[in-house]
Amino acid sequence: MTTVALLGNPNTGKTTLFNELTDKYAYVGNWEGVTVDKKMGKIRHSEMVVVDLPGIYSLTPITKDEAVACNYLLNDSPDMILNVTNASQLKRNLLLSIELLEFGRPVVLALNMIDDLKANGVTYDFDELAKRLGCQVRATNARKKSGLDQLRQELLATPPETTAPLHLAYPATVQDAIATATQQLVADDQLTPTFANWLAIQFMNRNQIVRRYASKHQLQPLLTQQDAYDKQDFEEQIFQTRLAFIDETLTATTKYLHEVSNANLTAKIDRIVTHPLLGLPIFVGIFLLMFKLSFDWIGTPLSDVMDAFISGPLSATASHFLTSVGAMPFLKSLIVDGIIAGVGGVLSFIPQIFVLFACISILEDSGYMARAALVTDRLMQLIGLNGKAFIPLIIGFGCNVTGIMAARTIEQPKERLVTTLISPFMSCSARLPIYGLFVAAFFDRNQALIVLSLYFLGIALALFMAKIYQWVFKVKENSVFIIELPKYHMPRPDIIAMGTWEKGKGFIRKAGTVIFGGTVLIWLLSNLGPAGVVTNIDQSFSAMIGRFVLPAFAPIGITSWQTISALMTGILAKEVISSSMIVLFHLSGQTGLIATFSSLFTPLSAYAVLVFILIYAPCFATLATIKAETNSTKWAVYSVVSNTVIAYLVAMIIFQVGSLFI
Amino acid sequence: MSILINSVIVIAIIGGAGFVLYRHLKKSSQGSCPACEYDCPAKQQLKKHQAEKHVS
Repeated sequence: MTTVALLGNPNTGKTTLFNELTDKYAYVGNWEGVTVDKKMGKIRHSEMVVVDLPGIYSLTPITKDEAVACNYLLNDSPDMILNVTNASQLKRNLLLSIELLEFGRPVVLALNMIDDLKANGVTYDFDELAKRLGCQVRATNARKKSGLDQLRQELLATPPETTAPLHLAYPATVQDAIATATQQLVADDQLTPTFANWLAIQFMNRNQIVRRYASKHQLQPLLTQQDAYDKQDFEEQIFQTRLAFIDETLTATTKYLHEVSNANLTAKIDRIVTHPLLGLPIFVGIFLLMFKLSFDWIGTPLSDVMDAFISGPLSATASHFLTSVGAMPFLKSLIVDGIIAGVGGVLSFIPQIFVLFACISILEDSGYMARAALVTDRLMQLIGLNGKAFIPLIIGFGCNVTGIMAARTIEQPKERLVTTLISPFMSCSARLPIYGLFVAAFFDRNQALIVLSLYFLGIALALFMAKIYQWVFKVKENSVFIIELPKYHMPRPDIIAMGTWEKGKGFIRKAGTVIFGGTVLIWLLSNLGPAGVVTNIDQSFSAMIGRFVLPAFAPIGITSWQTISALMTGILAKEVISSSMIVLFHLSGQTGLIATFSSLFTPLSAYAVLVFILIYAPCFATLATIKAETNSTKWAVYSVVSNTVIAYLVAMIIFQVGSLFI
Repeated sequence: MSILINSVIVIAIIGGAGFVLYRHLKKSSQGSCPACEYDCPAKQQLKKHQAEKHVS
């Protein structure tokens, strides 16, 4: 079985190419840090396995995900390398290509996004490029699926044997040191000359993974010379040699098709979208549009239809059927008032959630998300973070768990911890059903605006807390934020559809798992009491628990024990709050709940409750992830306590201050 | 429908709910993200990290 390592800079279309070449679908995102670990897939109708590795700028890792690629080359040693480059950014992309060509495995260089390059009036002499680099060169456009068949054939036809590595004319001192080290490594450590040569260059280039590898394997020829290499600044000499080689190669191989008279469309759009003053309002406007589509224009009308079906014909038919077959009231109540009402009530929010995910997928695929990170970088810098932290945070809008995991792209440990701790403030999609219930009940004409305000309150609070953590943890060093700005393009419907489905299908699955389990649990707690089965819910366990805590929540405007009990189930998953409320208020669906809300809340107390839900203790999965990522239970416990205290204080301020005016 | 059948169905539903909640909490404690059950690269890396930690 031949293994092909898929390597390249971030945003070169690597993952799209992987999906087109193999039979495995991998999530395609258009910003740095999406591919956090390697993914594998077989090339169709062959035994060739392609391994998609995280996008990297060089083999010298800065972040955890960059280390994955270097470790893979060191330990798994692929048979071949498919180096994907952005044809328009070849100068920078070739820095990595040189390191791969020096590795001594057959390399196929894919010049992806070739159409963008040609649109700028430039192309390359592929034969000359191949000759100078000593590898196969193929032009592709993964999005338009052009050049892929040839590339696939090229890969299948290339013999997976060790080839002569690329030899650059490094300065004499470096060259001598490489030769000496290689000879000794071959003689003393039984390494192959090619691998020893590559290892020596990487070691001199201060590649920390290679240096750790050398220490682990006691490669004395390298370890004894480490100080000498560093004192002579071999790293800079290697870099300058590579840069000169790239300049020379590109000068010799670049061909100009025609004069480019017009500045390209991307530059024109970017002048507005990433403008220092306009960038942020545009970002806010795009989010408002997303929520308008989800809550006002498309999502809610469809959601109402689903709710009408679930709480109407479905519920009535089930009730009628159960009566006709002689089901006991207890069983009938469990199925109709518990499962159908609770789970169905949450499922009716599928349209809103899918519309929102479709919007996010469009933003990702169009290339806007990278700009959003750039725009927010300016804001983030004010509080000591950078745009790199924005990526985990925006991923947290989908799910806080994935957002926290994405924080590992941040190289500074303290900065990573800060991002992990503020991630739960991001309003994840699981909170949407409960937002939907409250905004439909109290803010009918401004649904999108209220949801937008919650999202931005979450961001503002996250930034505020980040500033405090920066001060407490004495964070001085900041990660370097480099982001590739891909060209804008028309989003592809199949990528949008797949991205939306991948993001949203978990919500449907969850209805059959935790929402179902949580609903049955709350139904049991509301039908059982100390004396056994109760007919009056006020004597149930859930009422006892809710009433016990209720006085503490009066300052934030909560006056019903049912709300408190429902909030407690949110620790299982935030969607369970909605289903619990439907069950606890004995309603048939969201329409009934909305009517009941009007007697329990005012618009002000409803908003305060929404703010509390936004901020309070993260769900169990998020807590487990915080524990895993920080290697400490302490931080998970801290998240529960701090988030709940902050939620309480912010909701109380909103309710109490608001009560003075409203 | 007899009381026995009613009881069996109730127990089956409650048992099923208990099982899915148990599985949910177990998966969650392993860093599995139930809002997005799709096995994304971030989760794969976390599992690998945990497996390595377990082995060591």
